[in-house]
Amino acid sequence: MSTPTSASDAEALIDNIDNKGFMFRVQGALHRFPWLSPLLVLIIAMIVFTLLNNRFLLPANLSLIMQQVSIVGAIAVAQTLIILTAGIDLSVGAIAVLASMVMAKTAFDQGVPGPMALIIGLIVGTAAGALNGFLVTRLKLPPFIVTLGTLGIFTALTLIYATGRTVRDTELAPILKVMGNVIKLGPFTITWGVIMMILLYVIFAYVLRNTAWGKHVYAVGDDPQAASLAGIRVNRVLFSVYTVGGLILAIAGWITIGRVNAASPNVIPDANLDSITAVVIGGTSLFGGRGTLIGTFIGAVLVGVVSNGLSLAGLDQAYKILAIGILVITAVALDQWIRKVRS
Amino acid sequence: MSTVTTLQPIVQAKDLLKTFGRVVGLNHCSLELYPGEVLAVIGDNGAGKSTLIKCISGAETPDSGEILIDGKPVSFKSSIDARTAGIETVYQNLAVAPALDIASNMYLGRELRKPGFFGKVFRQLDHKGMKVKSKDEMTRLGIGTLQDMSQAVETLSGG
Repeated sequence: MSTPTSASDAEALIDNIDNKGFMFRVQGALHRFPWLSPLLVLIIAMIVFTLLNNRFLLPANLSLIMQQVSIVGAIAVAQTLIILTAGIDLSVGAIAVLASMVMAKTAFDQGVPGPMALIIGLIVGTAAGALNGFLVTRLKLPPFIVTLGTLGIFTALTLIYATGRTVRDTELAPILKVMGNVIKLGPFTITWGVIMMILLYVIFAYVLRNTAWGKHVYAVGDDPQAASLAGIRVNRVLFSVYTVGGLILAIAGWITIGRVNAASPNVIPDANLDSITAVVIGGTSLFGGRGTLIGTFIGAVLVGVVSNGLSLAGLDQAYKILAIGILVITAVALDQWIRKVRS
Repeated sequence: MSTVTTLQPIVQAKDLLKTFGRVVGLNHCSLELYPGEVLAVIGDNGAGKSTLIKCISGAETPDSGEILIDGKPVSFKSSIDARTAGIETVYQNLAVAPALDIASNMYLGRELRKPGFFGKVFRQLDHKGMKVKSKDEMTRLGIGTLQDMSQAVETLSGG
C-alpha cells in the first residue's frame, strides 16, 4: 500500500495533482460525469445551427426534433442497459418492429381488442429480449453474435408475419395510435411518444442510480468475476437486462406506430446502429460498467439536432452522416482516454 | 490464556474435500480458528490455500466435509451467505468493481435500502447511510486520507 503516512506525504500528493494541471482535472471531471462532453458539443451545435439559420431555435422546430428523436431515443434506453453490462444488442430495432407488427396485426387481422393487442405486443417484445438473454447466459455466446443472429430471425419473422403488408392509419386500433397524439405545452408541440420516451429515461435513470439492481448492472459490466464473488448472480442480472430491454423495445415499437401512423415491417431500418451511436456519443463505455442514461439522452438529441440543423442549413444529408461518424470516433477516443485514470 | 480449554473455535472446517474434475483441490483439510487468533496459511502454488479460503467464504462449495461457525454447522450457498455469517474476504485479485465508488463496492450485493415507503415501494437505496457507514469503517481501520466515499475505486492509488 502506498497510503500517505504523514502530512508531508499528503502534501507531496497534492502537489503532484496540481502539477498535472488542467488536462488532469478535465480527465477527472469527465471520469465522474462522462456526459459533460456530449453536452458541450450539443450546446456548441445548437449555437452554430442558430447562427446558420434562425429558424432552428423556433419552438416548432425544437418540437419537431424531439418527435424525430422519440423512437431512437426510446430504443437507446434498452441499448444503454445492455451496453452497461459490456454487451451489445444488434437486434433492438428488429424487436421494436416485431412488437409493433404484432400489436397492429393481432388487432386488425385477428380482431383482438386494441388494449389486448397492445399487451400481446409488449409480451412478444419481452419474450424476444428474453431469448437474447437466454442465448447470452445459458449458451454462453457472445452478445454480438447472438443478436446478429436474432436480428435476422426477428426481421424474418416480422416479414413473414406481416406478409409484406403495412397496416395503415385507418386500419389501426385507436389505442395503438395514442403515441402520436399531440399535446400543446406553451409554444411547444409534444406528442405522447415524446413524453413516453422521457418517462422511460426518468424511470430507468432512477432504477440505475437508486436500486440494488441498478448497481448490479454496473458491477456485472465492470468486472463479472468480482460481481460474482460479491454474491451477485451474474447470469440472472444479465438475463433480466435483456428481458427488460425487450419490454422497453416493445414500448418503442408502440411509439413508432404513433409516429409514422402505420405499422410496417420496413420502418426504422437504421434504428439498430443509431441506438448504438446515441449510447456511445453519450459517453457510455462499450467495455461496460460505466455510463449514464442522461448521457444517452444527450447523445440521441445531439444526433437529432445535427441531422435537423444541417437540413435547415441547406446541406446534404451526407454531411449529417459524416458529422455523426466523426462524433462517434471522438466519443470512443475520449472514453479510452478517460479510462486511463490516474492511479 | 487459561480459558483456552473452554473456548470454542469461531470458525472450524472439518475434513473438507474439493475436486475440480480429476484435480484434487482440497484433500480432507481441517482448520480451527479461535477468537482473537490470527492464522496464516502458507503453502506451495497449487497447495489449495485459495480453494480453502473460497470454501470458507462461500465462493466455492466443498464436495464433502463440514464448516462450523461458533460450533454450528453452516452451508454457504453464495458469498452473501458467508458475509451475513461474518466472514469477509479480500481476494487475491482484489475483486472490486473499479468504476463503482467505495461505498457501492463495500455494500455490493448487500445494499442498504432506505427505511419506510421509498425503500419498500421504490426500492430506493440508502446512499447516504452506506457512505457514512463505509467512512466509519475506514476511520476504524485508520485510513484517514480517504474522505470521499463516492470516489471511484479505480481512481485510488496503491494495490
